[in-house]
Order: sequence, then structure tokens, then C-alpha cells
Amino acid sequence: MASGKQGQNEAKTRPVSQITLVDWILVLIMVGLIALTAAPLLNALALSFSSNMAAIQPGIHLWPKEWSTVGYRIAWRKLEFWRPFFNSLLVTTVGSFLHMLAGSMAAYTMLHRDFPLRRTVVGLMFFSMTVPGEAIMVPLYMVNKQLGLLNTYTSLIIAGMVSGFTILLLFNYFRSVPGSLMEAARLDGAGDFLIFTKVFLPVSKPGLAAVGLFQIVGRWNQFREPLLYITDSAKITIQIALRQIAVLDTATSGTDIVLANTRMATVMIGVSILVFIFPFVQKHFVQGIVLGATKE
Amino acid sequence: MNRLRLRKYSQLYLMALPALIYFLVFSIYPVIQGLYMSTQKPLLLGGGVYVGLENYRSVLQDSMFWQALVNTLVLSGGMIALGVSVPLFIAIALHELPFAPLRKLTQTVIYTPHLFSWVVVGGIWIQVLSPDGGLFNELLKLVGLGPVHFLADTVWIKPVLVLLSTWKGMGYNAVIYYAAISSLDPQIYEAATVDGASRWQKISKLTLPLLMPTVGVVFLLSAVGALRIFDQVFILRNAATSRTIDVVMTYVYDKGMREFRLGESTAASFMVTVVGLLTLGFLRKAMNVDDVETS
Repeated sequence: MASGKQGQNEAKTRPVSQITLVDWILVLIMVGLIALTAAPLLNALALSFSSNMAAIQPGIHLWPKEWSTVGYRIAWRKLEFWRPFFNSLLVTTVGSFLHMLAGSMAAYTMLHRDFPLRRTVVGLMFFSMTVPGEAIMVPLYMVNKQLGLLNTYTSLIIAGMVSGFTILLLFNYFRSVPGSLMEAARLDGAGDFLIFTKVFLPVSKPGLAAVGLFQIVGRWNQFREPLLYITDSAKITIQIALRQIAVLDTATSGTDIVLANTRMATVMIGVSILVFIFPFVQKHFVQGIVLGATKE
Repeated sequence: MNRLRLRKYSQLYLMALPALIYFLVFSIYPVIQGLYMSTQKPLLLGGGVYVGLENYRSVLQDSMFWQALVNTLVLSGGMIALGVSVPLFIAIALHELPFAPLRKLTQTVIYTPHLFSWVVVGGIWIQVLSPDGGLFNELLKLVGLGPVHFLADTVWIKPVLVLLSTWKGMGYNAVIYYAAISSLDPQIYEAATVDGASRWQKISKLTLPLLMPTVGVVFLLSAVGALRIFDQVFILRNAATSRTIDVVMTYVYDKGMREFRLGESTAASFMVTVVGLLTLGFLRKAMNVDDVETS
């Protein structure tokens, strides 16, 4: 993954005769790092597939002792984990799509130097990038309350719907399109929206992909907004349900307390979507980070 | 003429509209609303009365606020120190490693937790650190120690939070550093090899100095989030530890959403935000990051 942009300056795999003691120490460090990351995850995975009996026994769980899917069944049906799961799926999909749409349209308008509202858009954008979302969480709650958006999916979809970082990233892609292309399209009688969808969106596919992945991960993991805006238990999202079950331990399935296998099953369901998008993340996301961080 | 302009840009107006409305309603308006609320004292029957800077004063006189501020600085100080240094060490080790497949595997594995939410990280580690039968305490038992209740012990909770942040974020920062090392000119290293430089000399005299601009960028990226930590503390705090780890943003949340003292809540968040932005601007200037980035 991310083996550097050009990857010229990389150590080559050397013949065995040149491998020194230091190299073996480096191997040990790598194995240690992998174990440090993987052991807690394996522990959770093993417990999630353990039977009730095995889940309450102390000991080192890195592999399911008595294979069972009872944890998943209790989580999904009895604790109704399917509900927050699909709520999050909905909010993530719609929210990510609208985020990309609003951001790319705003970026397109910024290309037109004589557009009367250009300065306003840019000014507001930089203002919004300066104010951290955490700092205005209580006023934002009040705004949602005044607009009657509490306990709606809309409040979660709108949260973070436009971001200055997205606009700037896409603006950079749009800028690479030669101006003559826009002129030609305009002479053919194409309006701005048509030029935007037919010319500009296709050239910025890598940028859109990076933004989309960033949004999917971010919205799936969205926590502060549903915590503040949603109190209706039918509308809570996955991170809130996960907190109730795996962190607070307040959920009960009927009369039984929730065991470790059920708790870890919810954690595994919580990261499931990330497993599907991980291959794409490796391709786009990491490049995006590197581009954003080192500006090269 | 005016109508012609409006006509010419009609589609652009429509395309800019969602962003404009969003920025006005969900960025400008909340800031104004918040500033207004910070000068109001709510009345019992609804509405409020103007009290000037009274809310700001009562926040500054609240020992809980100062405690939260100190906790924030200690926690984020630890998180920044480890978050900047540990990944640097990892990236250099990755670069020195002569086995490409193992390098790729390590990068991929340690990057994964960055994608997890703090609820997931919390859920996983609450289980691992559990005093009855958790993985870590079982390992401690093998060497005759424990069990330690890491998440309910006021001595342990701060280091645990810092270490969990490092665990979650080290892969991300390591990728940034590693990309910077890979883009360095290999000819410099070849020249150093010809001159008979040892491996350690190449790391200390070449890699580290050349990486300093990237270290600066990673430091600033971490510092931006320093005063804003909320999720990890909110998720991992409990009755026993909240005084030890409550941070500014959980203070703002508690004041506003639990005690409904909106004036004090917004006053606290505005003071901290302004001080934070000034500090950050100063850091940027002092470190000359803008020059470094573009050069």
C-alpha cells in the first residue's frame, strides 16, 4: 500500500548474504507492530464467533473456542441492530452523494472569475474552514431545533454537507481543464450545468473518488451529530447503537445481560462496511492524504 | 444590462446556491447565534436577558473549566508527542527494512485502525483491557501481575487514552512520513554509500534532516485537533475517571446539553476557540510552514 509516489528511494529486497542482524531486529519490530494492531482485532473477531459459554470464560481468545454465530443473531434480531445499520447505510449513501454534488458545483462556480457571487462563496468557505465544528456544536443543535430537524435523517445528511476542503480539492482538478474546452462547449450552445456534467466531472474522477471514500468512512463513523440530534431509538445510527451495546453495556436482550460475543459481534458489524471499501481506500485515499499533507 | 448578467449566470447562481445556503445557515448563523447566546442568561419562562460578559466570567471562575483545560493540554500534549515521533520511527524502520512484502503488510495492517470510529476502538479495547478475562490482563496474569482496571483507574486512564490515540493514528502518520522518504532523491543516498557512510549515519545525517519539513506539517496537523478532542474522552470516560480526563469540549457538551446552561457553554467554547486559533496562527508563522510547503 502507498509505496510512495514514484517509489524511487526504496530499499530493495537484498540477497540473504547481505542481511545483517539489524535487519532481523527490524523484522522483529514489524512483527511486533503487526501483533500490536492485529491482536485486539483478532480478540474481538474470535469472541464474536464464540458460544455463550466460551465468551464468559477467561483466557486468551485469539481463535473462536466453540464456533457459534449466536452473538450475531442476538445482536441483529433481539437487540435490533439491523435498524441502526440500515439507518447508517441510508444516511451515509445520501449524505456522501449530496456532499460530492454540492461541493463540485460550488467548485465549478469558482472557476468563473467574473461570477458576481464568487467572492462571497470563497469568503464564506474560508470562514467555515476556520471555525471548528466542535466549537459550535451547541449552537448547531439550536439551529437544527429551530428548523425542526431534530430526530430526522435530514439533520444527519445536512451535517457537513458542504466542506471547504472538498471544494478546494475539486477546484484544483477543475483548474487543470483547458479554458478553450469550456469556450468550445459554450459556442456549441451548452449551458453551465451541461459543461459541468459532461466536461468537468469526468476529468476529476480521481478527486471525486477520494472525496467519496473520505465521506463514506466519515459518515459511517459519524458520532457527535447523531448523539446531539437523534433521541428517537428507531432513528439512531450505528455508532450510537454500538456505544450503547459495546461501550456502555446498558443494552439488555430480554432478561439476559449482553455477553462479550454479542458485544464484539456489533463491533464486527460496525467495521464490516470498511472491509468492503478498504481496497479502494488503499488506491485513492492514501494518495489523497499524501497529496493533501505534503502538497506535491 | 443587469438582466443580461443575471441571465448569463443563471445556472451558476443555482449551482452555488446549496453551498451558499449551507455556509450561511450552518456556519455563519450558528457563530452569531452562539455569540448572542453567550451574552444571555435564560429566564425561567423562556427567552433570556442580556448579561454582558457575565457568562465568560463565571466560566473563568469555574474550577471545572480550568481542570478541563489542563486535562486537554496534558492529553493532547501526550497525543501530539507520540503521534509525531512514533510514526517517524516506524517510517524510518519501514524504509530500512529490506523485505518489500513485509513492509507492505505492516503498512496495511497498522493503517487499518485509522478507519475505525472511536466507538469501535473503545469497544475493542474495553474488552481487551477488561479486568475480568480481558486479553491484556490475562497476559499480565501469565507474568504474575494484575488484574488492573485500566479504564476506571485515575492513574492509568490518561496514559491509556494517549496510547490508544497513538495506536489508532500511527499508521496514518507513518504513511505520510514514508511517502516523504520515498520521494527523496536516491542519488543522495548513493553518494553517501560511495563515501562510505554507515546505515546509522545515513539515517541521522540524511533522512532525519530531510524529513524535518514533513515533521513540521504532521505536528501542525496534530496541533489543529489538540483543543478539539471530544469523541475519545466522551466514549471512554466514566464516573470514576471523568474528572481526570474531561476536556474542554466535553465541558462545553456537559454545560450545554446536560445542564442547559447554554450561555456558559458557548462562552467557554468561544474563548477556547479564539485562543486556539491565535496559537495556531502563531505556530504557523513561527515555523514558517507556508514557505516550507511550497518550496
